[in-house]
Amino acid sequence: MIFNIQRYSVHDGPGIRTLIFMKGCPLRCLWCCNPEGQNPYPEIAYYESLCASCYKCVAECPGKALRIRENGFLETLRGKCDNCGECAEVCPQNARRIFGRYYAVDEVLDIARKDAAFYRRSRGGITIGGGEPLGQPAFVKELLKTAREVYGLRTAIETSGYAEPDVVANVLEYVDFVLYDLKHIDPVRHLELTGVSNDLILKNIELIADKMILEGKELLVRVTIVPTLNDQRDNLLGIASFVKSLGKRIKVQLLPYHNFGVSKYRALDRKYPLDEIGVSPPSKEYMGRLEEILTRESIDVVEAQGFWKEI
Amino acid sequence: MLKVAEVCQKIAARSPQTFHEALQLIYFIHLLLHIESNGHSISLGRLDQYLYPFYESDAKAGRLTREDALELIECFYLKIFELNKVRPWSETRYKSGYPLFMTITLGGQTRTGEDATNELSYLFLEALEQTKLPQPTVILRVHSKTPHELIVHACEALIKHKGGLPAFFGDEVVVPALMSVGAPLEEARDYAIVGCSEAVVPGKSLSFAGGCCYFNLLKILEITLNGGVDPRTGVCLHPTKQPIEFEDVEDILEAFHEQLSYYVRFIVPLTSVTSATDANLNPTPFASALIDYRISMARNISEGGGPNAEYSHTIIEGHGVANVGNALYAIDRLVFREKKITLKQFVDILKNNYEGPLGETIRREVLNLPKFGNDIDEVDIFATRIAHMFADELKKYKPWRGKVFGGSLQSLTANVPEGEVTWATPDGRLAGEALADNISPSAGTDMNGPTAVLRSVSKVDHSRFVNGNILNLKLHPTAVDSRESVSKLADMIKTFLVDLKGNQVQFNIVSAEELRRAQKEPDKYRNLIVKVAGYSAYFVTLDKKLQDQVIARTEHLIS
Repeated sequence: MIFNIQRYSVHDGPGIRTLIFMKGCPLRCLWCCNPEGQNPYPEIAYYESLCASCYKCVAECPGKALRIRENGFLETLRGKCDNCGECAEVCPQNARRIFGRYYAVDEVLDIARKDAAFYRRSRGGITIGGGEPLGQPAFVKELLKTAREVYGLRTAIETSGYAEPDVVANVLEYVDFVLYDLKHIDPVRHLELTGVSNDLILKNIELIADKMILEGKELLVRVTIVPTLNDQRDNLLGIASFVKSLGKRIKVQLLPYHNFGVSKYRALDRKYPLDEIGVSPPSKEYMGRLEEILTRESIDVVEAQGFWKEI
Repeated sequence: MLKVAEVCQKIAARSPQTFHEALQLIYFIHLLLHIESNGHSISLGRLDQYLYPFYESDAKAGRLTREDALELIECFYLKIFELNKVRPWSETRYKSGYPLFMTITLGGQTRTGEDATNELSYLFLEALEQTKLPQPTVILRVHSKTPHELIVHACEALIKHKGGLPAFFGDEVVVPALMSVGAPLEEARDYAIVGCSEAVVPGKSLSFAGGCCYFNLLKILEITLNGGVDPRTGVCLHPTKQPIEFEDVEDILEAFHEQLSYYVRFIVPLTSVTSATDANLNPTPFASALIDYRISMARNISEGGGPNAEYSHTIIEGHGVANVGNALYAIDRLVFREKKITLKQFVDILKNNYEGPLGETIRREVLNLPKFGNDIDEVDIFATRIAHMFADELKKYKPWRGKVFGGSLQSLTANVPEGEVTWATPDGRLAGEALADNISPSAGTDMNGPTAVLRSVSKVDHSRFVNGNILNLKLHPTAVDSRESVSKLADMIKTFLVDLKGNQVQFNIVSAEELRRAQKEPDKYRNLIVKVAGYSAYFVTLDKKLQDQVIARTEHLIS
């Protein structure tokens, strides 16, 4: 189950890449920017700002799950809606969209291979992200294997690392570059922020680090900095000392938190968990200061990129 | 001022000795050419090549620093920018933004096929960042050996310039295109761009207006679908099959081809009149003296003929390729394959400008069909066939000035007024709406990102168009937010121009102002993808508040 395939991705691994978003994730990070990637089944989203109130969808809905509100826009009665996608089919405005559908390995690679010339020039390739790619290991492994062995594409995954170690080892065999998300070094805090403990995550990264170094592959640890939640000095120092214990070649990149997922929460009729806490994106200067903490611990820091707040 | 006076004094009587003198002389020549003919598209050629010997010897002798040279180039740009002319309103509409199309060509290769990049290639790009002027038009030639740093440098200039310059041209296409109309390899390698996209051999070629002709391909489709009648005027010059008689899309293509042939034929007498009139009324002895052979021939350049005729390619522009491709695909799907409506019904819907319940339903279906620019072969093939048909049709005729009609898929801003005289079309376009510009996809229809657009466009054999094809590509500012992503942009450009044999590409890094327009008209900007690590969304799906954030960031990023 995939919820998007994005060509010309330039922030997720080396070179020009096609980013494949797998649907379904075992974590529920409070700041998640792709909520449509969390559940492992198709989901209907509704963008009020694009809706022309033509009500074609209302007529089409087999489960009678759409109600017209007083303001003329729609309410999706989520209890009745079984995400069949008929409404998205008829919506002329693309205000109703279905996130997630099944793909065959070759279908994905037919799309990915179109940009092979761009990958060659830029040393890019495909990145499988999500959601959590390790949540669908059989498909992902087959995808990576075919990409590499049949079509000679370079491969990367973007993962939380939350999976059984044998699953990780199995998939990793066909990966050239791992973008590994680390949210917090403290297991209890990690549980509070993401819904799971980091035991498995830290264990897997050790496993990967050994293997990667041995096989000449690359590992980049990425930490999304969410002010007040995981930007404490102690956390960064903890991460630094953990990364150092893994071996020298591992670089760290800090990513600034952003709130662009908010629209999608609304479109899915879900609450944005950070609404109550009221977190705002970090500034570039602040990100620089945090990077400094890592650099002083002799961590090899990759320049932060992304969407920081401008002052 | 004293220095300027001294330089002018020197070059009044003898050849220039320094970089400053050479630049000043080029400006005077350029100015004289404009005074003589009232310009336009008088271009400056490969300035980094011509000027480098002066720069090098000045630098060696310690007479000129890099900073001094940069300042001189910036002053030069300012002087070039001062030139302009008043055009009648009718012409202005076709060339909005009052450009004079004075193009400077940088980079590329030498006559022997080596990389021609030098320090001045970088300096001319830097001056562009600093001056941020819409004129002169600066373009970078890219070939397989062009250094990555130079393309990155050009991309940085592009981001800071904010006005779409420099544009990028591919030697892989332009050199063979020139050779196909008779230029020897060494001369073809020495090409420079004139005006928007016309490749010429400096000192030899004429790719010349005074015979320029705009050709609205979407109008041809409209006429084809109406049995040969232009629905706007009711005039029928050449009857072909009626809508009820078409059996499949190939049938329509055949009739389209027949109408295209019929109307292309008019280009010959029309351009003969304009070319001959121009030659009679506007002799340009000074310009002629700068072209090889003209002095010995003692003939004015615009009269054509002589050895130069070998290099003459009278430009004919084809407009609306993406619309025609999308329209044919829509007809094929809805009428012939899915049989949702008959062609007659479709034509009636178009006459009613998609009004009424059936019209609206059909229009929605059409808008959701695949479109040119998404790297979908089934659609792209139609646009490609139309483009090739147009180029090949032009080859049948010889212009008044000799040699060939050189095709070009560029539209200036003619796609707007031409849209005004074209009724609703089967690609979902309403009556009066603009045509797609140049060889670009229709606005907002390319949903699969820039590489998909480049792949779609590269399916056209660009070497058949000696006067060049132009592609406008929009990028969300988040796609160029770091050194790393700018470097990837440079890789993308090189892949398109070298590996995929693209002709030309120019970028619009979407401004904050344009993003505000996208907030108001999301339909036209459905394709803008926000690029943030691991994140997936289109700009128009963001809430207003978040869009405002992106806009604020944009203002910061590219200011």
